[in-house]
Amino acid sequence: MRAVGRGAPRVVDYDVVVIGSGLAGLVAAAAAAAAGARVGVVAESFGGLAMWSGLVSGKAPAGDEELDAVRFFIEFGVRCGLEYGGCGGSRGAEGEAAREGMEVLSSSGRPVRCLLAPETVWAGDLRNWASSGMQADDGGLLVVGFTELEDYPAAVIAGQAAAETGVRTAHRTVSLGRAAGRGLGVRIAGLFDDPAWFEGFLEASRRLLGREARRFRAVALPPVLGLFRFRSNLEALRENLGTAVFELPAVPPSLPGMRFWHLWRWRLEADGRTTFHLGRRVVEADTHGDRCLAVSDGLTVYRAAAFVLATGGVAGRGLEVPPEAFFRLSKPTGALRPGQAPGGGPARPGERSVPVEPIFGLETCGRRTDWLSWGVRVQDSSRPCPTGGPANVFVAGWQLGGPEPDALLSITTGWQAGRAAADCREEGTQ
Amino acid sequence: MSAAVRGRVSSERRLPLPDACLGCSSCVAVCPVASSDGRFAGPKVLGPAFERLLAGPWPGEPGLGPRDAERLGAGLCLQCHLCDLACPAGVEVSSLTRRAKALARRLPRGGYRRLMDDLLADQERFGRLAAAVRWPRSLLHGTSPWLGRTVDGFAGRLVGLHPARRLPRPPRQPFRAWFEATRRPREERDRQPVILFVGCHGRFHDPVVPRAAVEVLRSAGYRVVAAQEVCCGSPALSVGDEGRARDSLEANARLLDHLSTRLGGGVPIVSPCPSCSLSLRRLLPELIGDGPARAVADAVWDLGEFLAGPARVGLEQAFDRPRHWGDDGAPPSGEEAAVTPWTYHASCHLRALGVGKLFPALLSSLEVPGRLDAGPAADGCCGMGGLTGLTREGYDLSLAAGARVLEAYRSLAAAGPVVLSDCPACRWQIAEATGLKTAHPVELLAARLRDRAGGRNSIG
Repeated sequence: MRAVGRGAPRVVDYDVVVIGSGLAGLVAAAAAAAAGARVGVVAESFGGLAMWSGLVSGKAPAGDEELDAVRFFIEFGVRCGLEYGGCGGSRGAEGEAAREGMEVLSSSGRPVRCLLAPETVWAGDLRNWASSGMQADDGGLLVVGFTELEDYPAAVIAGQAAAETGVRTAHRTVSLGRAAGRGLGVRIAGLFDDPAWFEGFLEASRRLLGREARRFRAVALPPVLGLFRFRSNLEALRENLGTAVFELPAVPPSLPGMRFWHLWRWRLEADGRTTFHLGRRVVEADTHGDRCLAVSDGLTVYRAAAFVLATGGVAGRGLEVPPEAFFRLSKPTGALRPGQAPGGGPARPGERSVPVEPIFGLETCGRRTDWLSWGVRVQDSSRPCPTGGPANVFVAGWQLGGPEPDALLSITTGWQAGRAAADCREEGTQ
Repeated sequence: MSAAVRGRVSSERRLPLPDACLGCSSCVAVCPVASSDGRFAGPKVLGPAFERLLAGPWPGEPGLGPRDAERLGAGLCLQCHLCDLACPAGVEVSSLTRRAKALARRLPRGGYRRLMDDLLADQERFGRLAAAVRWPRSLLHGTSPWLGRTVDGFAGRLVGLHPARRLPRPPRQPFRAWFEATRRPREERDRQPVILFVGCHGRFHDPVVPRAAVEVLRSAGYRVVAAQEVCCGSPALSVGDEGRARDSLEANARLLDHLSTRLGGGVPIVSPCPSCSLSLRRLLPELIGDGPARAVADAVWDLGEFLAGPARVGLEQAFDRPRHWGDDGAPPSGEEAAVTPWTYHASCHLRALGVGKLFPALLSSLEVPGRLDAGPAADGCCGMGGLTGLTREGYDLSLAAGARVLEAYRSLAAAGPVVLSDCPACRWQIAEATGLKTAHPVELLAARLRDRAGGRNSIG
């Protein structure tokens, strides 16, 4: 590969390079770093996480490997300060927890099924909406909205929730004052991260909601209770209002997704094994025989023993190389929709768009999906299966197909790909 | 045989394409100003949406103008580039908000204030002015620190600084003079050259950082050539003055290209200031275009990137050289206690460069002890926004925008760490707002190297 620019070649060496920093990319980076690899993440931005409600959806994990992946996900989350739990219990029985699945209330006023959810969207024993006893006479839910957050209509949500679940609901909308400005969720989250402002909010919430809140089993708030201090804020609110308090997951821009990205990325950087190259897009891949040697963003060359493609199926902007660069397919495939450029983005004038080859019944990680899906066909080892492709390239996340957003797929394939990529390094050194 | 398959190859990542914006508000989510100031409409509105409406909804109808830009708070954008990093659709949001900012600047403003604004934005002129009064200021500070501070405060107010902001003390010896005095042309003749782009802060106000950079680069085996440079243009952009920025960039492209050619071509250009690196690397191709400008842009390295990359081997060797104080390499007793705890703050422009946070790993691998972690809340914008936070109008905004980050550093105060940051503006803000000591990471490296040579074990 030519060294771009003049002067010394701008080459960085890693054991594993992960392309993309969405859910799959972060999990892959964490898994590879946990296996002792030095990891470089080359990514445009936080990809699909911007749209992610934070709920882990998908089919129940099958097999030990998927359970291991879930366990790793939960344990690493705890280290990041972002706890995930399932119905069956929080930490002790992590993997098993996801098996049962849970039902949490979403901001559409409807309970949604998921496998795991962040700690902020449930409170105490309210992990499973159906068995929470909310329908009982002494139950009930108070939906609180903020005047400044117009996208979150408390009255509509409360009405929907009552109609959908038969729970007694009520709604209140409180104003956050002038500081909230023209109220966007994230701006409000910034306020909640300010301890001095939050003190004032606590005081006001006791005055405005205190008496009413006690008559309900739980209080639901918009998911904007801070980008970083959400845990202590929730605890303080629970204590202050004397009842269960939780956030209703909502998108976008998704604060739960942003929290996830910030906290995981911070943890990975603080651990010292992972370097993030953000705002970069891979435009070049260098393959030699059955190995990929390096990728480049046009300025810097990233060399590694193995590569993980976690470039996304929907937002996917991290890769601007035709899939043939990695897979040398006779026919181009890839996580592309008609009219899309090879990078996954909308085709610009003069740019070639790649025809889509639909794959029916894609098999990933031993799970068969029956819908029409696009993606790179992979084997159980999360290696793309076309023969002749580099042996040290692994695929993770939504690129593996499925128009249905399935966070579990990102977690399991991310974990598998990260570990498999880290193993390549050991093979290389032996 | 090695096969390289490439897509679009360019050091400039993307084009400012407003139509790619999906309206997801991710940029607003990361914007330090949007989350702290209600007057600011946010990057989504001032970037892609504003750009689309600039031309007017229908042919012949008037589009948006300077008043609209002003009303939406365009002037408040700090040009931190975090929105670019957040956009899932790949829109270069900051380039678009910069245009709105430039538009808002066209509104007529009071003569004196505009004059002072222009002076601050023109760091070249401001720096020369500061250099011209260095002697009298030094004399004043030497005679009576109180008098020096008072006069500095008065001068600061004259040029439009907020009363709480203090002008940096005049340097004892300007960087250029020190550099010329310590150059050893004969010894360094056969070494590989590097061009050091010093930056205005180092050239005019605080020579400690470029000095440390030179020391470290020399220890790593390079011949450092200090560039004949002008301001990189980023202060001008921070007040929306694109014309001035363009002039500066053009001049720099010419000067650096000439110097590089004279040194035999292909010489890396290294800057200890991430804002200078970003300006040269990203804005040179964007505002000046192809040709020598792009070649210069491609040769620019951030100091951390260079030390962790090509200079790594030389640096490791420099650290391996035996210490002066004992054959076993152990420091004399009591020295370990003198370890300064440090924590690292990545500036927004360093993130925008996309090189990663390289200094903490480099310091750790060179066994510089004392690393502290300020937690995820410290990972963000300090609010200074280059010049914005220095001015009377921007001061409150800068503290509000950086509140979370500054609070996170304040909470470390008990440990008494030095906060390391590549960016002079971040250092200024963190030092003033938290009372903690700040330094460029290269200062710590230089101190460790000097330490190996039996010198002082402290920064600065």
